[in-house]
Amino acid sequence: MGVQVFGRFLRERARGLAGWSLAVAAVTAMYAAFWPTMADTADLMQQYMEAMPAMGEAMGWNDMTSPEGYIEATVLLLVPVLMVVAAIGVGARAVAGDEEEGALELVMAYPVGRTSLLVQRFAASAVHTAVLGAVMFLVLLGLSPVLDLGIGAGHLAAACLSTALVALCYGTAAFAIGAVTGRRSFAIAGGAFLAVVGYLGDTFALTVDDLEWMRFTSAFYYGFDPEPLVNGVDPGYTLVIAAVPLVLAAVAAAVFARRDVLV
Amino acid sequence: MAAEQARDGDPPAIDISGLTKSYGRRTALNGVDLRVREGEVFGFLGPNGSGKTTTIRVLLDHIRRDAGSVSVLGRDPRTDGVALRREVGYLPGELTMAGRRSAGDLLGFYARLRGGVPRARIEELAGRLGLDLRRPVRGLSKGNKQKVGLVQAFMHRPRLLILDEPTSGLDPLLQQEFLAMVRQAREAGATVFMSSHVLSEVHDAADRAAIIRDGRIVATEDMDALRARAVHEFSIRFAEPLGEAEAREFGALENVRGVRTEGDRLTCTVDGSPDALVKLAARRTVLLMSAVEPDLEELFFTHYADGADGGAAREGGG
Repeated sequence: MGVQVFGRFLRERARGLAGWSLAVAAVTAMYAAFWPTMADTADLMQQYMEAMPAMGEAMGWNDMTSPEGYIEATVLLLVPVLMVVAAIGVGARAVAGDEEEGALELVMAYPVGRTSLLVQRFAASAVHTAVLGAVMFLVLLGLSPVLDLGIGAGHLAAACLSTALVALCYGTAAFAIGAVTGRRSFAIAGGAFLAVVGYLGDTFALTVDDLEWMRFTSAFYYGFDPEPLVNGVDPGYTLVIAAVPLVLAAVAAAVFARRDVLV
Repeated sequence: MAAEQARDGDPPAIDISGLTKSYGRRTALNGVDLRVREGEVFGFLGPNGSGKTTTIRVLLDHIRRDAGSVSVLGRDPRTDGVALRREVGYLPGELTMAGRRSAGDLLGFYARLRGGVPRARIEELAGRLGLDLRRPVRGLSKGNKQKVGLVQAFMHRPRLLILDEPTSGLDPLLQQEFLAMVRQAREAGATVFMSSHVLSEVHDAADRAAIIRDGRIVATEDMDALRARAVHEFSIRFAEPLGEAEAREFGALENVRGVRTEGDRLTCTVDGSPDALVKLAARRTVLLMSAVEPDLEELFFTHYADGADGGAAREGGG
């Protein structure tokens, strides 16, 4: 018994995780690698942005002339999206996907408690996301001296932690919806809906005063508004996006322990 | 033998009374009462959608009952599911296996989930069923997946085996091997609860059987008594055509019924021993004599046709 369910779920995801790692590494490296070119034409870019301030705000661009600003506007815009998609996929698979396919039926005929099953699957999903965050960190850390980014390892780590936690928020939302409903499509749709609302809430909604409240429902806001690349870990905001997955997982466990499975 | 050792005083392996379960407005189980003795092989029969799988899933605590009491090996699945499932081997009605890992790897995982099963035991069962443990589960045929399911259900020598449609997908030779495994498990003292939508699948192995229909048990029957009541249908071909007088002669035999003649051929049903029929037939030259195995399913319902549910059950049984 022990943590067999945890290990098995991760091993079954090994190939998918390798693929996502590759994607995260490639996107991180590709965009980061443009920084030296960007630095040479920084003045031009700055003029372009000053000419269209609304566009810059909508896209989440602050300052394209510093390496922090550039990485934030590119890598921290795209990699979180990739990782959110990966996390929603794994979260939806963890309970609802296996339940719908029938693979959960045999495991649940074994001496494994429902809470234990759920906690192990959640932990495995979290590790999946953590691995992608670590890949992103290692790529940035490795490229930093080559590209002359001049961002400290601590701040790079803070940005990657934020990215991973944001992904985990939406992944766990999908996980919890799946654990409560037993439907994979609900899990994916729900997770994706929340993620889109969150993403728009922290970008385009900022240009409309009436929609500014939306940012408070966005994990992206708590993850990136404190500018982790510039300021390092913000304890308060980080606590929010670390607590959300735990609360969601606890709710999922409570409901899953009581409901009928596989009907 | 093991079934006879279980006295009435022993606690039953499965004890269900008044079990009900609804999904929304649809009633799946409508007051199921069922007792399976420790050490017996019990057939659980019913058409698809009658409540077989729902009942089984309540036993495993996949589904929570609305009302009634359920005790499996002396435990309530709802409150004591983990301890209970430690002593149960389960074969689902529909097995899903995916992934590129091998059957042996998957069975290794299930063994660890049980807290360890000797590798030799898995290999022994796989060998008996002719399952290649090195092949990836993804590419396995339905029959081979069923073998993986049987191995994981039997491997830890559980006290109770719950098998949902165990022989589906197995060819006749493997069905025999499966029945031998069931007999061995029973000899070792295990209880076997196996479901099927046809009686013939369980009638060789079962000590008793129950039929569920529309969420209610409509009949419970001792299989030996059922077989003893069995009416065999005989067909005899003689060297010469039979006359009407001769047909009456056969019809006059005490346990022979439904005599029909057609040229040199005579068909009839025999209740009990065919001794008198054989002796009367032997006065003539017999070219061919055959007996058809009784249709136990038909018999099952004949017995209960008088009951309120029996008639309806019979209609749907064909």
